Amino acid sequence: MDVQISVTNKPVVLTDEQILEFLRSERTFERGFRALMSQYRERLYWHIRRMVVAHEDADDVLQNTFVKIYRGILLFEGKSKLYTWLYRIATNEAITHLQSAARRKTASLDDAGSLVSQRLQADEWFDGDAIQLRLQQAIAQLPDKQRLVFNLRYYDEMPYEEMSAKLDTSVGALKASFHHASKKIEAVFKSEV
Amino acid sequence: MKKESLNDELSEISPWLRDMKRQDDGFRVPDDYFESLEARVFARIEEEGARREPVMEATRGGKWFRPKMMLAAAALFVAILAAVWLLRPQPEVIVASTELSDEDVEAYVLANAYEFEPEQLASLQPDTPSELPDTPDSSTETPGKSAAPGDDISPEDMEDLLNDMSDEELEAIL
Repeated sequence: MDVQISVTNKPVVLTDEQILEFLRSERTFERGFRALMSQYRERLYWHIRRMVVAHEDADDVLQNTFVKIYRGILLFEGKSKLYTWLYRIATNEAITHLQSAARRKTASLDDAGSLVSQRLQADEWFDGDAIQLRLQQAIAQLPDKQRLVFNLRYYDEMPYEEMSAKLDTSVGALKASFHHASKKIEAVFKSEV
Repeated sequence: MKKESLNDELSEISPWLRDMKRQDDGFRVPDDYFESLEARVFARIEEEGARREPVMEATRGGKWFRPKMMLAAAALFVAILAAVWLLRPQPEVIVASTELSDEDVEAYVLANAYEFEPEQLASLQPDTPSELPDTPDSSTETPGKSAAPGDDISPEDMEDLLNDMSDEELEAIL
């Protein structure tokens, strides 16, 4: 990311190195954390939203994610990109939320997709048509890891190489997972027609 | 390897999904949601009393330079030093020669005669009569008892006697 110095009220975009530099000093820690939130909140939100589907759940998970980042940002050793580290925390929080919700409903983890589907239908912040609703329901039926891969490729258009670094999975396995997920979704959708 | 675009990939796997992607997915967020997020996050941090790792000023060595790690490393170093000190081999105690009695000195000389030159041995005038035999053939008598008590042997005579004796004979006497 390039540094943009602004004299207006528009937010200044900082590089990851600059953010980490602010975070290393007690005097500028809060400024660094606010800059981190400002630059990564939307990317993290939509990543979480695609997994948990409902806006209220995504909001809750996103706040949990930032609280965890606040607590542990100084443990970041710089072995990966900053976003990769943030992303992993967000993914873990989303999966924890889904599993917790499944346990609360005394449902098996295999039924987590059904629960997500129910949440989507009740979500006031989803106004897609019937087709879009069915598509999201089909995606929700996928296993967590496969749904994660599908969302990253289909919605974020993330290259497989970048995805491999984030998920610590080979490119070949990710391609196979996405292909399989795509076929499954299409089959489920068309079977309901 | 040329990176395949998503559109090309979906055209191959599922043209239907490719077409679906072009449509609005239906997900919405409340107005000003992202702008108000920061305040809500800090409110939650305050509410939960979220503690964070203390900032180590001017340290860029990563986790190994945090206070706790440095204290642990220092404590380990001290423990290792203490163990090495306690388990070190004890040096032999050397008793100063001034603390030895005459009998001790005499016993040492007799036991380690090889270490002394004949002249040195000759210069040692024992208080008691000589314990050395007059001749090597006087083996039936106990060494050192042939000389009558009180007889003195001059250093020159002693030196001659010692020079006439072989190492084996001297060893047998001692």
